[in-house]
Amino acid sequence: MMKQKLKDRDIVAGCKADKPQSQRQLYDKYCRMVMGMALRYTQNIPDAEDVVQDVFVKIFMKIHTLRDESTLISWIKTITTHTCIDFLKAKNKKLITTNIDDITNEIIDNNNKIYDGIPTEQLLKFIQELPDGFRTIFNLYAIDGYKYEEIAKMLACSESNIRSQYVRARKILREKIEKYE
Amino acid sequence: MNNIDQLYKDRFENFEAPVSDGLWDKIENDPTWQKHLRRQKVKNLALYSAMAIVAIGTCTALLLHKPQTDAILPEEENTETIINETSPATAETTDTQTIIKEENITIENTTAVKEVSNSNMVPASEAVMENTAAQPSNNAVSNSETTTPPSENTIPTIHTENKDKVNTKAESEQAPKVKPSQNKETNTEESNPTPTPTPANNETIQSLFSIPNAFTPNGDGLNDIFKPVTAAEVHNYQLDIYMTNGQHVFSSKNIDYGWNGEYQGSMQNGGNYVYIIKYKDTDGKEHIDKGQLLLMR
Repeated sequence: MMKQKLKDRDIVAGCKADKPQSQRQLYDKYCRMVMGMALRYTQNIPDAEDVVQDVFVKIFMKIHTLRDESTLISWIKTITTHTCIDFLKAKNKKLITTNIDDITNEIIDNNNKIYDGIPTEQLLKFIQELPDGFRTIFNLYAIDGYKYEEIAKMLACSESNIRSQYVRARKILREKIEKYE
Repeated sequence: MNNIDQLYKDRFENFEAPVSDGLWDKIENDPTWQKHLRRQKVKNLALYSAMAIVAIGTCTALLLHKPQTDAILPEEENTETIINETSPATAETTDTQTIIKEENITIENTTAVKEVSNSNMVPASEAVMENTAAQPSNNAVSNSETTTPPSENTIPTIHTENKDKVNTKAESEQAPKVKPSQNKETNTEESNPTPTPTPANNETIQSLFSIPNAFTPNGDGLNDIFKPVTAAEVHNYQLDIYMTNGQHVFSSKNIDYGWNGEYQGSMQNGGNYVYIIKYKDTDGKEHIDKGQLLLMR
């Protein structure tokens, strides 16, 4: 752990000095993590790789703004989520559609069954099949731990809208998982 | 937390996926990245050149600024010493003058005495004129003893008695002062029109240098260069010349290299300038000689 932190610091210092070698080291170390995130925000590998490309260009260009090397991982994750959202926004004229019917249509699901048998690839496929808006909100809220308030700001829409869309996204996923089992 | 949320969080929070091999090349050739690199290069170039300019600027500013502040001081000191030390100074200068008289007896002497007489004591001039015929230095002394008012040697005593004559005394002092410096080379016509303030360079007394207080940079081969002369051995010699407004016009660390009256390639106007000579004698003692010099056109 200590060793890794030291190495991160060296890599970041090298990147700040625009050393191509350090940039390659940073890429080699974190490209899989970024790719993993990009895959669940996008729908396929080519899109995800486009996002990864953008993410690393942003990282190399803005690395001098990173003050604390220990926050490197969360910094990269933040850049990745924002890049994903930008990517989806560019693709969709309106990423989040307001559907008044949905707001009233909140589903209360208290099924606490634990689905352990489903492979991760299948879960990824389910999430990739979600509409862009649902997928984004579900990723942000359930996996990346953003709060409704933060998501509402990032996507420029109301908190209640986010909340209802999230509930709908989860309902779709549950149906898919139950169907699979 | 909902079980679906939990499932996805557990599986995907640290989910990693392989990337294709060609992705790094894509990143390296990313147009935004390439643009950034180009801009960075230009920025670095601009930064380095800006830094160089700033460095040069500060250096020149420091070099120019420091001597200017120095230049104001010597001027003030000079004027003070002129007022305060005139009496001893005159005593000294007259001494030197009499020595010169002894050396260049005929022409020099008479003109010198003429000037003294012209400057203040009119009635004495005839008597002096008569005396100068044979043995000037002795005459001067005897003259001063017999006829109190005219002679230079008596000026200090007169001065203490008649304080209202300060001005005339100062003038009388200046007139002979010009003489020794120019005794041989310049014409007497040139030295005559110098009743303008050419203050006593009192410090020449302790100075190892003989410093002329006027020069004529007109290219006639006579006194074209202002240059202090010394027979003694000195170290760390530096000569600086300033305008009376403090503008630095000349600097030299070479004892053989004097001022030709030019500044930035153009000949300067006639008038007063201030010189400062710094050097160390063989004992390592630091000397600073200051004074004014007259540039005559």
